[in-house]
Amino acid sequence: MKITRYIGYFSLFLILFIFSIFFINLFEESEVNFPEKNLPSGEIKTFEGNILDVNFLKKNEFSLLNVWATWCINCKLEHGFLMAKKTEGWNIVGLNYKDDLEKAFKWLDQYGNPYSVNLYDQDGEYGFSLGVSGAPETYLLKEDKILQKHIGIMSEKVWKDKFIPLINN
Amino acid sequence: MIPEIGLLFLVLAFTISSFYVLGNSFMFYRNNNFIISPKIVYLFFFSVLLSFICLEISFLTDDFSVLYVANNSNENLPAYYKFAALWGGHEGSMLLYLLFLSLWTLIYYLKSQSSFGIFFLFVIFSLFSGFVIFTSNPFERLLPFSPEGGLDLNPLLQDFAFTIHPPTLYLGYTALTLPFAIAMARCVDPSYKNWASDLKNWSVISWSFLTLGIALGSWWAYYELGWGGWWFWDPVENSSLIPWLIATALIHSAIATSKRNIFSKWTVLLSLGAILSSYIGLFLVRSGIVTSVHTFALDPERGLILLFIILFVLIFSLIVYSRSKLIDSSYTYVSVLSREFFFLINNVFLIILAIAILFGTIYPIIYEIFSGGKDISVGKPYFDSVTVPIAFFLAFFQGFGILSNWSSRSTEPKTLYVYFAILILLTVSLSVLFLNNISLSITVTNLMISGILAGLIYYAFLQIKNSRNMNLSMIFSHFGIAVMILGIGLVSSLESQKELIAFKEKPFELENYKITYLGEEKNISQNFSSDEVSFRVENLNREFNLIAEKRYYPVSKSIMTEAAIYPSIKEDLYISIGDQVEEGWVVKAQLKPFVRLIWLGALIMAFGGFFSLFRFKSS
Amino acid sequence: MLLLIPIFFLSFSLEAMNIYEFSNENLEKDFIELSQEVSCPLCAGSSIAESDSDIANDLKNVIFKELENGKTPREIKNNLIKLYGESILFMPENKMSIFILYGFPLLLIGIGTFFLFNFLKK
Repeated sequence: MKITRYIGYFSLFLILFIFSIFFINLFEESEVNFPEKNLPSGEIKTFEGNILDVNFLKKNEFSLLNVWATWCINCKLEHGFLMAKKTEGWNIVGLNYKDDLEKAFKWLDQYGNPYSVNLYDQDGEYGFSLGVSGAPETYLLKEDKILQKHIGIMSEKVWKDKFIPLINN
Repeated sequence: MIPEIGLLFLVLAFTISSFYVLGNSFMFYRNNNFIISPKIVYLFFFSVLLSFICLEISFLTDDFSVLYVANNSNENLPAYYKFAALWGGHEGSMLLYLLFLSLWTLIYYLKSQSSFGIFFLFVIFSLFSGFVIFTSNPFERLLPFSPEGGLDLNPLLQDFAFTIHPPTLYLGYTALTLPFAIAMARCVDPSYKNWASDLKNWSVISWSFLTLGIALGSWWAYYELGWGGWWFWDPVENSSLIPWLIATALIHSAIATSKRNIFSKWTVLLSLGAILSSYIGLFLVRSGIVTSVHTFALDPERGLILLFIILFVLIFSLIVYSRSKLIDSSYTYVSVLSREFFFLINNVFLIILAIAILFGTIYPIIYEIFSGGKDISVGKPYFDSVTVPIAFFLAFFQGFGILSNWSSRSTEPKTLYVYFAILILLTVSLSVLFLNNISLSITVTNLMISGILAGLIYYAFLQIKNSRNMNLSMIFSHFGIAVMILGIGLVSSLESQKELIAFKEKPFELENYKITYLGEEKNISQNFSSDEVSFRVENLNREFNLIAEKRYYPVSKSIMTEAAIYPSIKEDLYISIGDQVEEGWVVKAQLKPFVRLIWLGALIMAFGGFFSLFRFKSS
Repeated sequence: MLLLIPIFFLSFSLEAMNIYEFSNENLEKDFIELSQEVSCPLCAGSSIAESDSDIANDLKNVIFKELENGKTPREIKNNLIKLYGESILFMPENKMSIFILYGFPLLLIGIGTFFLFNFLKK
């Protein structure tokens, strides 16, 4: 029957379409767009009790904002990466999310501190205005603008695929 | 040593299957013949089994020098969970998949004499075992040796139902390879006489396991996740539903082919469609292109290889299909009331539903590509609004389809009239039963199950009246889906909840239940500590206590809620606790009427399926 | 019509959530509807109404506050989209997507029905 033949071709087309979608998606992961927006202006204090000065961020063309907490086990897994980036000279701002200040200090003492400055977001309100849904999350900043966001553990691979293209632009 | 032996056995199985495939391809090209020896098949199966056992030994002996064991187990896990941890990650679950595939291969070999079927089974096995050996080796060693006690298995997964959910599903998925292999075998060897009934039986095996596996997952999510939901239209859930729908269509098509020698092309293509949809599901879950609680995130390179394997299977089977001669007994006339036609309607709409669900699941991926990277979600509202109308249509016609006769014996219009009479009678009686709760969704549910039940009742009556045997497995399976639909409809329309802060000894009410928060106790267990919050529940007939928990898992630093459930067929009382506040606890109490019918229905369906394999066959 | 169908699966028999004391009933209805349309970002397809996770509760709190402050559901949704992207909602907002999402199954049904009639004519 003719209609069966057309249905056959249509199904084949659908299947190949699905495969192409998957194929493309596997490799286009890196070019996910992110609407550029400013760092929220909310009231947020650093560990030392000062309000974050945006000019501090403008000193570096690019910075990372890393959302972390002592209760977050995956944060431990990306810690090595963050320390490495610090040695390479990257500016990393920490956002300590829904955490205990004392525990945070102990954690940094014990494992090492990759952050140039840490923001203390005890109730998560600042994180909410940022669009945080949990830890770990890392934001790529250009001065005080957010270029990209990664939910989950940071690694060299994510750095290369997601952040480097935007840095090189 | 043991992990290396395990790998060796896997390589042995891979070698056997691939050499068999290559050797016999050559043989077939030359002599149009295949050879298989029983020793080969037994050796093949036992190699995979031994490989699996070696990995289990590594788990049970806490061999954390094996990377996969270190990532998925922990020395503090109870032994049973160490055993189950094997399938908690990508590499191990693939090995489980291979184990079941080899098991079905052996059983097929023992029950059937078609060597062509074995050939295609070995093709699939070679592809996937190659994938495992070269890209996803579960026996890979961690160097240097990791001194930690292993990363804990996600506490969500330390649960009995959850541990048997993947194996059950995998038994279903792997069994789906059989109809595919049989169909291909028939394409290559027209003398394969009982191919359709073999295919039907294996489709039923697969379908029954898939039904159980999906139901287990739903039931587990319900009592474990603490929120009272039982289906989330999560991409991974959809990935199991799509093959299930196609397998259902496949069973019906295979029945038609084996009984009436019609739809053979459909049967072959559906077999292909079923296994392909399960592979697409496999890919979705493991490629990392969809994020979900369920996914194993792989790197794109492995995902790509998997994609190529699937594409290869597709192209290969289409070539085999296109060169085959599948001839049906010619039908010049199919009456609109014939069973053939109802099967066709059934299958067309099942396939449409499967495609629609697949489409909704991958639409976010499509959109991301064409919109330059924007992320969207497609969730419950879409899937519900697509599934309900189609399911309604399918359910409504099921009843009459059961009553219809094959074209050889025409269906009398009288049957239609009596059927409608019973249908109306049922619908009205059920409406009266639910008079207090009449709503659009109750009515829809009512019509759906009345449609099915009217057909079943009249069918049973006719069979008895004409002294014919009743197809019990058909009755069970169709009755099962009616029960499930009833459960879904009732719980969705009638569920109620109350979310509030409960204070000690201050009761609150939910429908006709009076619930009082009594107090809490702290508890320490092998791998977690918990707050056990107790409630006293009173209603007209009874009084009982319930305990809801909040568990803290030290290794993974996660917090789990264990809801307190008072189950019964009529309704579940479901209490879950949120955070502790100074004066009390955040509490969510829900009433889920007839929710158990959902899983009971699934059990009945699966039972019907398995029953068909054991009942005494007269033809 | 199709869009009405999911509504019977929205639990209209939901009772008052005393955690949030609303100043009027309409706000409460809006809240219930909104929390069933917003997905919990880190959960498997659950809405924030269903989920108990931290982020779900945070979102519920914010929605409650904004509703009480007089924001319309539309404004709240737009705000959430700005923060989390369109994927925070269960249905995409753009008309094109909705058209394709519902159009495709309808197209399939059309093809299927046509096919069935064809088979009968035989």
